[in-house]
Amino acid sequence: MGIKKGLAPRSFSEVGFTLIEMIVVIAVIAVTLPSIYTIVFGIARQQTKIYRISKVKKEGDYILNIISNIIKNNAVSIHSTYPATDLNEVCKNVPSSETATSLYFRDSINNWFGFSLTSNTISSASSNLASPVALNSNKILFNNFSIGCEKTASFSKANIFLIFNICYDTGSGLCTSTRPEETASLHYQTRVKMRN
Amino acid sequence: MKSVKRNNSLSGFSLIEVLVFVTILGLFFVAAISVTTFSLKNMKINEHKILAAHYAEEGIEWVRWEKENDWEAFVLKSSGTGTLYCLNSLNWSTAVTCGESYALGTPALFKREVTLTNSGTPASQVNIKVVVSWIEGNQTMDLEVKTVVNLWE
Repeated sequence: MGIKKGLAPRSFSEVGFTLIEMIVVIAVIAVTLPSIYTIVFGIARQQTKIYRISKVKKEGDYILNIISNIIKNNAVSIHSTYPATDLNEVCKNVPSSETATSLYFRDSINNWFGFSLTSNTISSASSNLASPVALNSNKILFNNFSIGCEKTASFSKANIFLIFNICYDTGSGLCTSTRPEETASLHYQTRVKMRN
Repeated sequence: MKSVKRNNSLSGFSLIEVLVFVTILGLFFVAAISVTTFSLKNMKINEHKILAAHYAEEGIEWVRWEKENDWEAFVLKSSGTGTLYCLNSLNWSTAVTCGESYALGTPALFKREVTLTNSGTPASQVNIKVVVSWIEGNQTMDLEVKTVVNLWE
């Protein structure tokens, strides 16, 4: 008991920090925390930007390649609508051209296939498919999509051109954002000549 | 006596201890921050590389478009030794380099140049080389894409 009594006041004076110590510690934390968070947010922003750009590029490259390869290898005649018949054939005479948001083709065994844009989805339709297949995900928006054909010389096949701008959906169907790291948009265009 | 000794041993760290601790902490922070800034810089470079690859492919596609459109006019743009065009916007400029005009992309950081070299008499094949360059810090980065087109494809 006697020892405890003797200890009590001393240990009381030793417990805790002084005001100066607390101020110094809080000041150090106040300086380091904001800088750590700035770096963390910088990394997060940069990752968002890279993710969105690579997503847009991946989908854009995919759409461009698949459409131009299918057309190049399979298309024989060009049609404005489906099912492809002789009545709706376009780019048959010289000179003629057509620009639209959808175009259909007939292949060498008389099946038809085509590509069309409806409300931010590029879909591939074909007489062999039960329903059209979307080529892009729902995170991608199209500002501008046109597919068309052009025939300038009677001795050569028609050219088919494809132009589109795609961007990442920053929310509620918009490409723009007040935060620059959220926007990613790319322009694509190509022109292919039919082989068959 | 006992209590005085105790007080002495409880009176905080020695200067050496504090110095060692602060040095270790400082080294740790400096290392951590340099690693993160380095990775941030790398991420920025990667972002620019992705964009540059897209611009290079876009350039190639446009040149291919021109070739499909009119071979005769396209061949005249090329030469045996190679003709260089600035292709910041997708149209034929006069045959000059872009120089220091980094006007491509949003934000405008890139420049795109295309070299057309033909071979054969009369020219039946054209080699296309697209170079996209941009400035990263104080060094210039390049990304090159090549392709060959010919009259018969």
